[in-house]
Amino acid sequence: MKKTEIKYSIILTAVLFILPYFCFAQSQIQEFRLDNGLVLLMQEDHSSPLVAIQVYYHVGSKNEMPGLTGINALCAKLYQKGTPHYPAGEYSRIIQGGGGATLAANDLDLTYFGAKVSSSQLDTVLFLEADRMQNVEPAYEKLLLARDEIFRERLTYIDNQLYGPLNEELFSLAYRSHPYSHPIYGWPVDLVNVTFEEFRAFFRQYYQPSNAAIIVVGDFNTEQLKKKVKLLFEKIISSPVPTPKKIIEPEQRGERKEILLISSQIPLVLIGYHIPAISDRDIYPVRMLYRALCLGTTGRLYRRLVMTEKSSLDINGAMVELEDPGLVVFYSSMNYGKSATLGEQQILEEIERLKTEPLSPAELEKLKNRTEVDYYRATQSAEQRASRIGYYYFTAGNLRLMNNEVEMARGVTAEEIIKAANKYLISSNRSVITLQPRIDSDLDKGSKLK
Amino acid sequence: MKRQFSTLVLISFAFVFVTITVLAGETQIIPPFERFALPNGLDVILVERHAQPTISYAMLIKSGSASDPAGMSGMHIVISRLLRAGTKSYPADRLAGIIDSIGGIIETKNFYKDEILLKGEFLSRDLSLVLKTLSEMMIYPTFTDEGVERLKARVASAVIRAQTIGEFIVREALYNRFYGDKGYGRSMVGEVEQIKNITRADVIKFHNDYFRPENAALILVGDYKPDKARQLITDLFSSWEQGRKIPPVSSAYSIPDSFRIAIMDNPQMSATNFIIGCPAVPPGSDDFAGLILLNYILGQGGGISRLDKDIINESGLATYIRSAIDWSKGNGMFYLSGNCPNYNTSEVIRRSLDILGELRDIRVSQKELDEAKIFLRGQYLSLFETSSGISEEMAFLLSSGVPVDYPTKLLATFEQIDPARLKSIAEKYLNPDHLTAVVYGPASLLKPSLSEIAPTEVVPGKQ
Repeated sequence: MKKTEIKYSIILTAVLFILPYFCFAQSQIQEFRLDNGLVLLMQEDHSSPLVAIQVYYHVGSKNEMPGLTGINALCAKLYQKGTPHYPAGEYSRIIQGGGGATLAANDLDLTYFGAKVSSSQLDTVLFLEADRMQNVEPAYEKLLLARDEIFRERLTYIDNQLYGPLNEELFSLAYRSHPYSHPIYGWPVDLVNVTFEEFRAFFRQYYQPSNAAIIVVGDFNTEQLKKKVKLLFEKIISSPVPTPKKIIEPEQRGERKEILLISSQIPLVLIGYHIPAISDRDIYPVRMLYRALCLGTTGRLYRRLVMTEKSSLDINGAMVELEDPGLVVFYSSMNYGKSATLGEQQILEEIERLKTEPLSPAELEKLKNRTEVDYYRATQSAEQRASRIGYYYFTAGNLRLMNNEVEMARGVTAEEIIKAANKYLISSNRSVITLQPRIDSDLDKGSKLK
Repeated sequence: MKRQFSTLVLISFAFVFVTITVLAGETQIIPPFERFALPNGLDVILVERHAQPTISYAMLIKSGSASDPAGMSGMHIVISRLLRAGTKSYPADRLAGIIDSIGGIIETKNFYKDEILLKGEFLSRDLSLVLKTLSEMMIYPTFTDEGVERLKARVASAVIRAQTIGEFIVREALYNRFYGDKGYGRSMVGEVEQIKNITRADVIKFHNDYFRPENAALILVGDYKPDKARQLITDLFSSWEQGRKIPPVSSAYSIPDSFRIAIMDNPQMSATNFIIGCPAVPPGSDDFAGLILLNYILGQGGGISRLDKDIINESGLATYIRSAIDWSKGNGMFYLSGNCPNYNTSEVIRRSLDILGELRDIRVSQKELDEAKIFLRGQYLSLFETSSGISEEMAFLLSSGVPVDYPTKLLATFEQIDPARLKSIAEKYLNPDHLTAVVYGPASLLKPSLSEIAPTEVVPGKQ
């Protein structure tokens, strides 16, 4: 029913990685572990006759080894290509035919699938998910289909979008060793070279009960649900998932810069800093730093660059919070006649201020109030809450961090923010990409100068 | 294990049957609400929900891009952003400071033909303050010269960015081909050169013409005491004065005598955006429910719609393809659109036309029709799940010229539509001669093969 809405998101992919930061205080989340290692997380809520069911696998592009980038994206496509009992399209047909909607996504840390349905359809979804978890079988033809699909998506969403390559460039600039450096879609050459044996081995290693969790939020009965899940899922054979090798990104030794020349009339600067993992205590003051700079029209960057200096047309940013250390990103689209270099300089000056001048009590209170509003905003629907549970369970390692996030944010002091600024927002931790209008004598679209 | 699986398969079918039976029954889609009008004509809807200590509001002006004055395409966006740039009692800094200090969020949604929407979310304790600032923004905006110039520059930059999005470019071009440069033919985001020419006096005139209580509605959803909300709204919005008659909007269009293809040339593109469509009818019209069902079967249903199934799942020709029907007060468009590698473009266009033809010439099965009805019932239920969703959807229905309980009536109408009726609606609206296609890609590569399908012209594209 919604009309088409045009969104101007420059760092779309980065924003997609961000899940809202805050906890919720609905009924308690119940955890139940099956004998085969599969975890069931449930939150009963009868405020609407809907239920969200999501199956999370603890695997993302960060589990891909060099030369095998994109293999998880291929497996995620395979998962949607049906089983011998329910061929491709049947899952969606049954769910939609019953009034529900489906969901599928893969990112850096996680891969997940599911549906949001009327509560009377919960059993159907559980049955279909049990079938998928047990019976999806890698096949060579499916590998080819998945690969074609990814190539087409890359063409549409990366290669033919003006700002499409920005995220890939920023992450590959900021990370040298950690697999966050490569795109979720993988590098095209790796996708071509992946063998069927590698594809099958990766799928079997990660897409199994002991590496998964089922999240159910909404209108159901907890005890009945436990019994049904046990009946449907416990007999699915599981094997231990080897603990992935922990790859730690080496400390950055100095600022990294890249210039992209593309067909845009508007120069743009994108600045990223490494930040702690979502489970690190420092994430709370870093979130406040980000909000101080980027929150609405009273954020420091907007006030300085857009309102006062009029050098920028638009300021925004993103907290890319991940299982391993992620990035905080700021960007500015420059006003006519203003260079990206000027935008970079002004952003850095505002960041420097945060290292010495404490936030006033009023500014700090403002950031904390917004934290609370955003938390409620992010926990309105059953689907949103299920996503948060799955995300926190695997990336933060527990749900306690999710449940006390507002409280933790309320406890952040101005001194902690200064300390975090001096620890994380430093030049040697920084990567900068500037996007400059290409003139006729320049290289082709997408060329870059390092 | 196999035996167990067979048992489970039977159980599954039982579940599907039960689900269909349940959903086909009466489900309350629209939450209970209270509606009243102030003496000045402001339409007010109150929906109480106490699950969270928050309130969501939607302040609707029932005019959008179709009401932009001649030579000022983009005015509706400039003014909607200016509302937050200062009022009589709150200079720009103070207004933004107040909203931010309480953690409140205000968004403008303005990429519509008939709607400018201001959406807010905030904690319940701040109701009085939020309604006070909202009434100031609607009734007493100051529109400073500095604010007008700053916002114009920002909107113009957004337009430049939008003009790099192929999906947006072809949709705008299709509207323009049917509706011309007036009314519904006006760009949803505006034209850079026209935005630059807008003056403060133009903004004030537009505000006087359209920002009127009789052209507005306020929807408040969330955790509040209705007596208090009613009193506050009466106190704060009663001084809003009615104006002269709202100028009419043109949704008149002209239909070509045969199917044609326009290529918007961009030699740099390695994938093509395409759109095929024609004007339809507004919500509330007799055939609208049938068009909603046709839309689902054709291309709204994701992986199970006919377009997706044939062109993506079975052939792998396109990255995405979907259909849509625009909800507008006047005649919006019914169209299919997508993106594919350049070398597949003519085949995708040809197959899309074939699928449209089948929908017109062959009755859909009862099963396919039933599934569409059940899916849409579930979707409407989902749209009204959250406070934010309720306020936005209700505003959207009002801007489309239908009552807020229209989804309930729509679902009842679905039950009266059988495959024969659906076929007659398809015959009426999917006439191949009335369709037009716009593609955005390299003309030298695309024209030879597209010319074999229909007369093809090349027009300048956005580079």
